[in-house]
Amino acid sequence: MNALSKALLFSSGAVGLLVLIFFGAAIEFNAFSVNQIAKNLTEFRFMGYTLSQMIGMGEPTSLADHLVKLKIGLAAYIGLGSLFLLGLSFFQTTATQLKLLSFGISVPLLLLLFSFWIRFMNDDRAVDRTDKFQLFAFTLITYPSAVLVLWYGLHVRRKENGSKSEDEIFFRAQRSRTLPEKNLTLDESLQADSKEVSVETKDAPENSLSEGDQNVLLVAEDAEPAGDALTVSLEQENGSEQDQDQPPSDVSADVISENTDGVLQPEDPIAEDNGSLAVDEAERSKGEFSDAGSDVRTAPLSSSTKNAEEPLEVEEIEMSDEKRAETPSKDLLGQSDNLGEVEEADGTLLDGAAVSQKEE
Amino acid sequence: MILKRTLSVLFGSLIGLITLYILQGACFRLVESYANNRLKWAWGNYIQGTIDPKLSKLPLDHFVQPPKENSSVPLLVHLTNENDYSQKVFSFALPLRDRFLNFVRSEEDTLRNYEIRDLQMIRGVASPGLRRAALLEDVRDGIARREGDLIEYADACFLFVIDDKSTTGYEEKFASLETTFGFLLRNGMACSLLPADSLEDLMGKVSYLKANHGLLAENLIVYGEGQTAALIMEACFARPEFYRGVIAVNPSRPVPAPNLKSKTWFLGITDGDLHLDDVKCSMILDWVRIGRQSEYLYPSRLGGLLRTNLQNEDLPIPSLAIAYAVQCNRYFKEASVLLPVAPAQVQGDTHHDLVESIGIRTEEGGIQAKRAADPLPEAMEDEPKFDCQMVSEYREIHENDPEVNRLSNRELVLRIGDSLKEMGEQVMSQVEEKDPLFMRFYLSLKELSVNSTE
Repeated sequence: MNALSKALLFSSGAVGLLVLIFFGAAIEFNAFSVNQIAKNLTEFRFMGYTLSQMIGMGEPTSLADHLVKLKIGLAAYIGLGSLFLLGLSFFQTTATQLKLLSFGISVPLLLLLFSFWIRFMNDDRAVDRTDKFQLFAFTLITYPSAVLVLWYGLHVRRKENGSKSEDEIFFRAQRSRTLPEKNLTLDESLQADSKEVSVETKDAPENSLSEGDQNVLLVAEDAEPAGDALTVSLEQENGSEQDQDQPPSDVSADVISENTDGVLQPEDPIAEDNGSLAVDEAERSKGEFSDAGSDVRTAPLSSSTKNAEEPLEVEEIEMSDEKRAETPSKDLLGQSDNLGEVEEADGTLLDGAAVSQKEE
Repeated sequence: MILKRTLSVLFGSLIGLITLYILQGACFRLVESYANNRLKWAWGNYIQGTIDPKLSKLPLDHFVQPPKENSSVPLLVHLTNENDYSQKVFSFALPLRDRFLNFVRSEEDTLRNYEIRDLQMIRGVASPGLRRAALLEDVRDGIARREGDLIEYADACFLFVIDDKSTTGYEEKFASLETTFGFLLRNGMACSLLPADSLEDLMGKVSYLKANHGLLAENLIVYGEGQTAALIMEACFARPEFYRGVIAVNPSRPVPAPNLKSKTWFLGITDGDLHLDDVKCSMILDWVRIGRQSEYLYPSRLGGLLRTNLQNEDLPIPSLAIAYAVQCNRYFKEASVLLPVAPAQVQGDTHHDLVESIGIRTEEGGIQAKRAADPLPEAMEDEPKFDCQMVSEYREIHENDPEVNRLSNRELVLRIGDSLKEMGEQVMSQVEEKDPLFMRFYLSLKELSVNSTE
């Protein structure tokens, strides 16, 4: 999403600048006639005001003056807007981009509306019903839009958390893929992540599983490297759980897409809530959890990143077969798998020692 | 976090405040009733106008001070100051101007419900068709046969003066002004297109109208452009008491302002080249300042206005002029009680003498006008004096009070009568026994004011 928005903003800004350059060159070298455009622009009236008055360039004294003012004014507006979009594309997070974009839209819109109204109120100009209707329509569209966009800009903080989690998961996923080369266990990689990845864990509750977090991290003592382990476990789960007809889960879909594409899909709503990810390879391969009707949940990433050396909480959740049957899940390619049932119930992080103890 | 929240709240509050300000301004700009009410809150009513001390702390257009005369400042600066002042102080009339503009652009055949008739030498006078019951003084003045008869009147009379030698024909001009007249008629004002070829011609026609159709032309407002603007200014210079309002658009020549304290409201509309002619410019500024010389609030603010470089509205008459005429009419309809009674004795050739004495250029062919002006003195002699025992005694008691000396008998009758009415019915009955003439005066004037308000 971030890359998409970056590309969108960058291309919009670049197109704006290119259009500006193109028209500037066309006018300069008489590449084609802009008489009709110039005529339309100079004849444009809103409430009796010309376009140059609307954009704050003052009342034109002659046609030539009008054209010069329009050229300067419009070029400045388009150029500034394009540069603004280009600048936005260099921000790292989508949330920041959206926030600044909303400010960049709403504040000029409100300024335009307010300045126009103040000018109109202090002006000495009689207007008829048609003009009043135009003004009403303009205000009716502009004001609520600007206020809503501004409100969004002021309250985009929640999205910002989610966006950071997305980034965090993105980095985590990339790191997980590189783990086999480094020959690291998932626990080690998580500990390394806790040092490297900046995560807003202080504000988050230590055990966010109780808040319905479904993004889980299953950790086994003898776990395989994360990328392979996750794939293997999902395949095994597919094999063991296919006949249960479980509906697909969004969470598992996210994990799947991460593994298949190498990039985690940021539109995962659950990943936004909690940035934890785990796989219990050993337990899954045995299928003990599913057979016993219980589910093991991992602690959120915050727990692991906060103090990786502390023993993690173990929570075993009983789950009936009927309930499990209703639990949605999805495999790597969008097919049904068993990961969903692990993610559906509440739970905490289960470390390798605890799992082994449980097995015994 | 707290800082962010505070900033967010501040930002929201700022937008809310600006929104409220614009909402209020929009109502004032677009809603006529709100604009008029805000004017009343700021200035009080027409008769006892006072600036509201609490509201005056707000930066409202009503409280802008008139520009002061300063000889060291160039004329161009004076013009700019006057223009700015006039624009601000008369901003409350913008909704009315909007209404007029909309009326002119949307209404058709606006005179079909109004009577248009020729009054001897004055052609095509459209009257609003207002009627009221005749009072005792109307019977005494010869306007009605007996009390209670319905007599026709108008709140004011608007005269659009055109040059008689103008290339544009009378009919054509009248047709272009139909919607404008329709708007004024709806506001209770009689209207006429008055051709005049000279000062004497104009004065003769106006005198005839005042003398023979006093109820229609009690409050006379005249409008002229170019040559005729100068003409009406000269006419007003000669007989200022005839006119309640003068609207002059680009007067072609300088006309001296009346020396005496004028009760006539003056609106000058000029193009941007006025400052090139120093004499004309300074004389127009004199007209504006003299128009504002009044002890009452409304005339002291609105009595003299000057606008330069008005926006072209593509109308036969600027909306500002119409709004000014309507405002002038509104004021004099209610505040005529404050005006002194017109001079009772006017010599037959007074206006002619005045014209000659002030050296204003006159043209030949004024015989007809002179004849028309002859009935005037008789009519003026019949002006009611409201002289009665109560008034005489009141004047004797307050002999040294300058305010009472300034008031006319008519105003005193109303003032004393209102005071007595507040004291109760018993007092009123005692006064009626003592001075029945006073009571009749009071009741007549009261009824007249009630009718005019309705």
